Amino acid sequence: MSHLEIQSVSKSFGSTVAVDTASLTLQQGEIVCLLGPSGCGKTTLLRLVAGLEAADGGSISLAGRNLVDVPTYQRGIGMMFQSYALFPHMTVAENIGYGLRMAHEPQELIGQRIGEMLDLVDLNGLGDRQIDQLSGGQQQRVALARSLATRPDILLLDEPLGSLDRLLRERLLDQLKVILKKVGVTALYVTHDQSEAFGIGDRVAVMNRGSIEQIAPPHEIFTRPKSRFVANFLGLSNVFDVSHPHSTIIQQLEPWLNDQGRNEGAVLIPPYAASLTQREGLLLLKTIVQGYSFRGRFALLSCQVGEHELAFSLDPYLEEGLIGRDFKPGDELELWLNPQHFVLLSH
Amino acid sequence: MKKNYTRFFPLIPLIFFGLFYFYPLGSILKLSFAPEGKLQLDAASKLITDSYYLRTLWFTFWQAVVSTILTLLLALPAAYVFATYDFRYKQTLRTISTLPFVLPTVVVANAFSALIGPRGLVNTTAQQLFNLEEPPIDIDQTIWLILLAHVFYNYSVVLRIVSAYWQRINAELTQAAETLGASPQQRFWTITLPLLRPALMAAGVLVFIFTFTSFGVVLLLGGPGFATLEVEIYRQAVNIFDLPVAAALSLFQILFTFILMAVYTRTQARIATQSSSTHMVAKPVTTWWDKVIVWGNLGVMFTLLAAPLLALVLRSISWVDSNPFLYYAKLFDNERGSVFYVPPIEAVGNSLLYAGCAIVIALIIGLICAYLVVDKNNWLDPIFMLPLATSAVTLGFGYIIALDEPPLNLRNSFILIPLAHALVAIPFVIRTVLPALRGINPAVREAASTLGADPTRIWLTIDWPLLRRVLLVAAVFAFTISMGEFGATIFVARPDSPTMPTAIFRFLGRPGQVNFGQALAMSTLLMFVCSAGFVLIERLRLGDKSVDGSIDQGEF
Repeated sequence: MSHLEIQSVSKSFGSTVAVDTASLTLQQGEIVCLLGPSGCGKTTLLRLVAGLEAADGGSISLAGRNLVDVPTYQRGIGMMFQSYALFPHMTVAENIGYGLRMAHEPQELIGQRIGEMLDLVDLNGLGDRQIDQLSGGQQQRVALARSLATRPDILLLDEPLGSLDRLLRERLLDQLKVILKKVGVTALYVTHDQSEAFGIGDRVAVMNRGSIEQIAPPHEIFTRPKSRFVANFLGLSNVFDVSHPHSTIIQQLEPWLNDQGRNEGAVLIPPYAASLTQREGLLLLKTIVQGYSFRGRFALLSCQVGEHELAFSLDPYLEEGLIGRDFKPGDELELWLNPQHFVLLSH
Repeated sequence: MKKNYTRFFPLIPLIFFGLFYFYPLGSILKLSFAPEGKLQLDAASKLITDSYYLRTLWFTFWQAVVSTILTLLLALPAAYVFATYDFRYKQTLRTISTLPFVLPTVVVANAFSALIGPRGLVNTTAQQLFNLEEPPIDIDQTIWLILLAHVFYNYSVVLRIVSAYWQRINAELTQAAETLGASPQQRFWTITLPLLRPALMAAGVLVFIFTFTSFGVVLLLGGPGFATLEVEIYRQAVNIFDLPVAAALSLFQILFTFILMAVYTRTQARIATQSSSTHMVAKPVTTWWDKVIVWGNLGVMFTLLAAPLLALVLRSISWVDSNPFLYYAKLFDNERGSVFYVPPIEAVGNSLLYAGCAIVIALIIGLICAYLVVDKNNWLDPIFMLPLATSAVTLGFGYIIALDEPPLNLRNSFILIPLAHALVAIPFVIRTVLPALRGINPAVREAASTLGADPTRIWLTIDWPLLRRVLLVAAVFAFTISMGEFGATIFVARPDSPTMPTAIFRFLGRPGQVNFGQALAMSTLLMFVCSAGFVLIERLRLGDKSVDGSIDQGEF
């Protein structure tokens, strides 16, 4: 049986539907990321699990216990807030021990557990510090320690790195994953940042308009997006309707499409599918260059096929002679596409 | 060339404060320690050795403590309701609840007399209904009436400061506690209450200052049995004529309020720096428990705040006479043997005239002061705030002992009252104008300058349009303060030209239903005038959501 089971949960605020019959299951010890644009309902779904919002319908069960009608403080969860929500009138140690005090644990056990937690998040010796004496990264770790101290059945994280700058975020993400895996806690992690989701999630659930559009491991989400929305959200923009037989690009892809037996839906050509050199099994695409720039790890090429615009990233270190070469807008260019990377989208 | 004038502007407020603040206070100092020119500590030592004064001091202290605790306890649930719930007319109700605060003490004292005094609405109604000989509620001239009036006055202070702060507490903090297993009770005691402490402290200190320096309420409602320091200063100076003792008491009062004011300024600063990302979202009233707590609190607010004022209006109307407005009509009569030498209604004219002069003085001096302290942490700023920390009774007392003899004899001058009122109003003018003044981008003035505007033109085209509105607010502030000012006026007003509050006070000193009725009628008029001013201020301030409680008016 699954550890967390969310079944057809819905939540509206007035006339706005925030979560629309969303279903999701998490296995014990698994980290799942809820990924989506702002307003997609990911935070609301998290708060429904926490019980900070009451669901309009559906059911949520945790470790075999139905959570409907269980108030937040009896759910046995841990939660990390974007603002960390550290209690400003308590020390680091008092913050970490708060949940244990609420549960009336014996004093010596609380002290011992605080020590373990400080050790876990590498904040030894800072227990007596006031919250405002800590750096942003330290505060983030206190919040983590506090939410883990009670050994929750599930850890809920609401954009826990959202208020940090990019560089710090990359570093803390790795630390966070190491700690979560060490503890073995089941976690639901909300973010709008794709690299953060891919970096920490065992599986990633992409949300759109209150529903879960696709849930899969990161590599599968990226290489096999299920819908146009998922593809677009991940920045894969070369998507074309198959049902337009007169479009120049569909005409060029026609032999391959016929092989697939598809005449409806859409086809995604990932930006990494193009090459300048002909090889066995590649498809020819005649394009007109619109812009080209060398970006370090890759080179960005935008080009036109009929009325469509496509963007490709070429690998300057695999493509022979690409480094130092320039393309002028208006030049005709033959590209070779690897159809193995193509994805057929239902819609 | 214009600059030559403006160079002397700073001197105007400095001279004003020197003559009308420091000089009278210095006279008090001199009178208490050296009444005949050489050091004498008789009066001062009397205060510490005579058990009578110690009892006064003790009473002043403990009634302030009890009033403060009562107010906090009663207003805290309402602060919770206003911070957490969203209900219809919430803003309006919050605004109306502040009204008592701007009402003159004489009005409030009369409102309570009209409600539960021996001739009050509750007692007379009960006597008629049950054929009672004696009024059933007999708390006239008891501590209970004083405490009740103090709660009435300061309820909105606590409500405003605490509910505004409560709203700004990061909602995620209590949610975090919730996810960590804290029950609603645990959340209140471990998170909400400790986080509210700065606001509770600030509100508590403020209420303590107000009740410690309470004058009108105690003088009018307490009777001869009760005296705060303020009342004792008045009695010593006016009734017993022991000026050195009055001066020594004033001195103590000054010291004490300064200390309290310093404490308040510090707690206030802590409130202002609080900020949070996630504000609490007010929730609608849905469950029966929500309804009980919201309606229960609104009921308490109505009984406590609205009932006395309604009773005042009702009792000012004569129900037995053929003319229901008898008491109002009497105000126009110049009766032989009456309290006054002139028709009482002239007090209205006097008050308006004094208020007009006070507005002009307070605006001119206050505006210059504001320009002087526009840079933050200017050393003059706390000095200009001093009148706020000085009791009005002390100020009035200082005026009669300092300004009635050469070199500056203004005893019979009409200007003495507006001067006192302006001095009380100046801190409010400064506090109202400063945010607008600080909000003017200096680059705008520089831009005007590069476009060829001279300093006068810059002021007229840049500053004036931006300040117009706040100056109007400041003017209304000065107006309401002047109309209701009692503590200083009672010292300096001449018998033949009373203001509305002093006229009311004199009516009360006379026996008979007609005099009482006229006091209520005059109080009702004053209440409406002050309410109108208050509504105007709130209207003008609309959209300017500056820190709640910072504009709260003091009735010193």
